[in-house]
Amino acid sequence: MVMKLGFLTALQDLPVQDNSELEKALAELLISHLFDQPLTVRKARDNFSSVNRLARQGNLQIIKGAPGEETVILSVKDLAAIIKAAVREMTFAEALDVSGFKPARQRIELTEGLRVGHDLALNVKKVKSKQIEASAAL
Amino acid sequence: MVYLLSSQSLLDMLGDELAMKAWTGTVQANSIKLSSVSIGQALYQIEQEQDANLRAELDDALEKTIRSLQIYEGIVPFDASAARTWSKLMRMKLLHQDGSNPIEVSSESRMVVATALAKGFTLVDAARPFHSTVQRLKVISP
Repeated sequence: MVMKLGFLTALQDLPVQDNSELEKALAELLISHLFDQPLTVRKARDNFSSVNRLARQGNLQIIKGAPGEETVILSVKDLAAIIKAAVREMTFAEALDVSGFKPARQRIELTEGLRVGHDLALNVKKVKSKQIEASAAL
Repeated sequence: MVYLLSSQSLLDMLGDELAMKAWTGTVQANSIKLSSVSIGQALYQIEQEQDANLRAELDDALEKTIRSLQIYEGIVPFDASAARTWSKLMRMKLLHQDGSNPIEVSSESRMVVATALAKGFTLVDAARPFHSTVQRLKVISP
């Protein structure tokens, strides 16, 4: 059994710009899709075989903790599904933001122009004589 | 639609050009491609920058961009099909800038255009005279 589609779709609406907001919203989302209530450490320890089996069946398990420090048990298959869902829908700007991208304070311009002596093994004279018109088929 | 950044678009993005910044917020990360040739062009151009601080900022921004795109397999090599297209583009008069001081598109930038054509990508580039010269070239100018 794999993770429910509703959960995966909801992942795409999480606020990713701010880490604390993301953690809060993610915890709420995880809890709302739980098979049961979050577990205490003791209950998880005492029933670990059952917890593990449920996680393998696509029912992720949450162990209680301080906000942001709760732990999650899930299968690699479900983790892959989460990553796939999250990565697929990110805008380029969001992906850059997550990577820690910071733009430079100033733009620079690319040097253009065909330069003799810099082109890739071209006989420039020959190329110029063979220049063709705009309608050339590619 | 899959987009291929031109080398100048890449540099504009690294330099926080407003139109490019706005555009990156409207497209999905997995729809963006970058030619390995553009990485070389950008690095070469950054190396020419005299201001060491600006050079470091641009280097860092480029590295983060490359890493982000690698996650989505967004770095595109210059392969055999692009090379075939490039050989044809090299025989054409392609103007980067027209008017009284015309400038032709460099061979490296033609490699990027060839990659867009060979793969069917839409080139992301500021409006240039050569765009209308090349048949089948799809261009978007943020």
